[in-house]
Amino acid sequence: MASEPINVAASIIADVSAGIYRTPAGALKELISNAFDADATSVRVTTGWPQFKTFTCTDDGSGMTEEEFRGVMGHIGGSDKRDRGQLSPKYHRPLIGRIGIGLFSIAQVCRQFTVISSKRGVSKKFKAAIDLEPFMLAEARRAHLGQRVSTEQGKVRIGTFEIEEADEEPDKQYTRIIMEAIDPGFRQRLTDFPQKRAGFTPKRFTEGSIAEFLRIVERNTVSEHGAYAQLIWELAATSPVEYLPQGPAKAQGVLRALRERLRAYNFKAYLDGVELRKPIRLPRPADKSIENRFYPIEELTKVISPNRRLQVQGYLYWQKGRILPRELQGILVRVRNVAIGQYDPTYLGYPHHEGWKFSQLTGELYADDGLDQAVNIDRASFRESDEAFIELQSLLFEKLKGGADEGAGVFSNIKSETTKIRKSDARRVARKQAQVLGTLVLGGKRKLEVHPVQQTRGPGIDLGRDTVEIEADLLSNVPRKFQQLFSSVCTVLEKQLMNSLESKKRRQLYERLALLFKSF
Amino acid sequence: MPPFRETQRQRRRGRGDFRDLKKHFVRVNGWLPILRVHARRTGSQVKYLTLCAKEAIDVRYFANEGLIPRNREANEYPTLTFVESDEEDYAIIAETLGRVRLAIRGRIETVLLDRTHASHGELVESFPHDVINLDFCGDVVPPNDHPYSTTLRCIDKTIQLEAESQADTWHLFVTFRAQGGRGNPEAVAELTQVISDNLSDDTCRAAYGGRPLPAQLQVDTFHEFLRLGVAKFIAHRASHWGYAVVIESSWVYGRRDATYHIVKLVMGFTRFQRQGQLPNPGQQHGTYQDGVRAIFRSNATDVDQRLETAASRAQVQRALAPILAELNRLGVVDA
Repeated sequence: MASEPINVAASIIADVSAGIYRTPAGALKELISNAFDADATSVRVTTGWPQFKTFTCTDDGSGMTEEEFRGVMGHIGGSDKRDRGQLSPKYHRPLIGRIGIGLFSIAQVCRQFTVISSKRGVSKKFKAAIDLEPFMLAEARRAHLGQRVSTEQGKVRIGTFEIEEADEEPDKQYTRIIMEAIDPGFRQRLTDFPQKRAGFTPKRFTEGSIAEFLRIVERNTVSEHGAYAQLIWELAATSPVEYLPQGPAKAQGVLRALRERLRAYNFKAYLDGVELRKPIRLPRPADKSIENRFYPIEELTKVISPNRRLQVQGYLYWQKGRILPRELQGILVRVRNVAIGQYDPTYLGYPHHEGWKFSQLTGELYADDGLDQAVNIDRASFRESDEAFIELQSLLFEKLKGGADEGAGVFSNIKSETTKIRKSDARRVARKQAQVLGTLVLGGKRKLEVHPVQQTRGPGIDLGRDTVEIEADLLSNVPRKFQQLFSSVCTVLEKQLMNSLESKKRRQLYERLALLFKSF
Repeated sequence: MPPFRETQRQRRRGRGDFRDLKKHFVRVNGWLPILRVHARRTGSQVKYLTLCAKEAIDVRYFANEGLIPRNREANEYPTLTFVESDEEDYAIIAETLGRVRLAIRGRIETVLLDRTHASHGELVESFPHDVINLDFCGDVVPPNDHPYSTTLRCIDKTIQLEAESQADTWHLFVTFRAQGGRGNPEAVAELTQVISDNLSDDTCRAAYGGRPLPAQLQVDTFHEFLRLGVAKFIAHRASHWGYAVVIESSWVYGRRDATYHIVKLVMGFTRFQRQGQLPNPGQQHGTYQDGVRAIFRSNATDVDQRLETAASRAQVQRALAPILAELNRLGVVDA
């Protein structure tokens, strides 16, 4: 039987090219990753804030020659970065750009851009003006609608570029990208505050350093400060940059190794002049006395197939109380140091309902090997049917729920910790109340503890030297949360009335009071 | 747009210009005192529009002196507007200055004069500014343009926008190149005629002093001819838009063994006619004539001469050193 070809409409290629990144930060993150791969020590991104008319991105990485650039543009999506070796030559960074479409991510931001680059040792630089407009306009896409993709040696044309060359100092190396005619939707997103239309009062972020940024946004959510704050957050959280000096948590061990690794990469990224650091500080200063637990995930290796092994390390962190900003709640997976998407509050689709515990938990997983193939083209999500991803899910679920090798999981631990803390809190409160009650009723610094009993000799309450006994019958009508208060009020009244009001009447009074508390 | 190779050739040729003591001499002695005046008036919130070039030395210098606000923590110059035509230089400025009030990529003449330019509206809305520094790299009446060149029209538009946005007191710094034989012959002829016409007034003639007559002046010292011509043009347009103008100072220095000169004008504007008031031609003319007399009486400071002594050079070097260190730290220039 003869086989017949299966074709794709040309517009599909244009659609895919124009919209593979979900957010502005997703597109800019790719440029930062490119700089990381190019052994840059710094990459500077500017947005032309607050008008957002022109974006720029400059790195001091190895740069490109004109020929290399022609090669990249003539073969988008066919990057051979990983084929050349796993590590960058100078700083031995694990290469990120498997898909090799970093440059192309700019199509999300604008339709026309300029690349200027120079490579060390070459006394030339080039400038390439790239125009995707004719191929990306809606009319052009419609014109191609339903047409077969016409290919030239297996490639589809999605834009054109003009290239010029000029002299440059041979010791200069850099790549500079200037993005103009920024996509109107992109600009609108950055300048707009949809919260206003919904009746909220948005908080505008205008501050500087990343620590200051974190101080502002960690009070609640990043998103309430608008899309520019979200851009900063996403770029800082996802890029392979260092942690803040106090971040992500005090713990050593696996964290120390991660911190040192990022420091050794010697890579800094700047957004509008502000150095980006991973905006994670656990607990935040406002919660420094809060109960918390750090769960390291020491390096785990799992063989997926003879040529593939999953290698993961990271941590989980829990605190009694919500993790803030809200965007930090969940698990962040980093593949070769770069985050794939944002913090996932479902914990890679954790199948059990854990209610409030999700909001008190955060963590990062560094997948150093084996997970690249599971990353979707948008570099913001995973192919959930990929074997390595399934394995990663299992590892995480085991850590959370507990399993044969793990013993009790994080969630059971959180539950027992919470119960322990609640009991301990209750004891602490009872001690304090006994102190206050003792001072009020007995005077001095004496304590007066309240104990429920089945029966008393008096009107349902017996005042002793350092204890008060109260009848369980009296308490049974009072809601649990008011029982301590009710007992204290009865104790004070008993002290005052025991010599002036007969026992029977006092009993009636306490019963009425119990009914009053019940009504609350 | 000139080809990439040509712009790069110019960049390479001017790569040491940031160290130029002559330029900085004018910043220190001509521009700084004016910024001080506005800083006192506005509480150091001077709104400053500049074509600052990639090193943005003027911006850094004024900020270091505490005259324009700079939030180091936020990497922000909240009152600064800059316009840069070269895309590579734009990127360098944006990356090293951080956030500014308004950053525009384009040639200022085009952005201001072409209503369809993507940034026209934003630049127009940014007015008024307290100090506007139009440091044009090239000729003010280039040979390949009309006598009423886009550069001159840009200056006029700037004054108009300041007037329309109710600026009362402000300053304009204008820098241009003067090279005899290079200017637009028609423009030079017209300027010669205009200056000559002024000399028919006795008081203007007296103020003009012992200079050669305009036709000869443009041959002998083209930079002085152009200094008078451009300053007079500004005075004329200022009076049209309701401003009295004073020439606070002017500066000239040679380049490439005096093959050409750089002229810098520091002009102060004070409103004499409110917007909405009926124009008073007599007052306008009188104000203009006063301005012309002041311009004719003025003399440019010869920067080359002032920098002849080691002491004066050392003084400017000291003022420039912290900025060069900052630029070096930022990787904008090589040590």
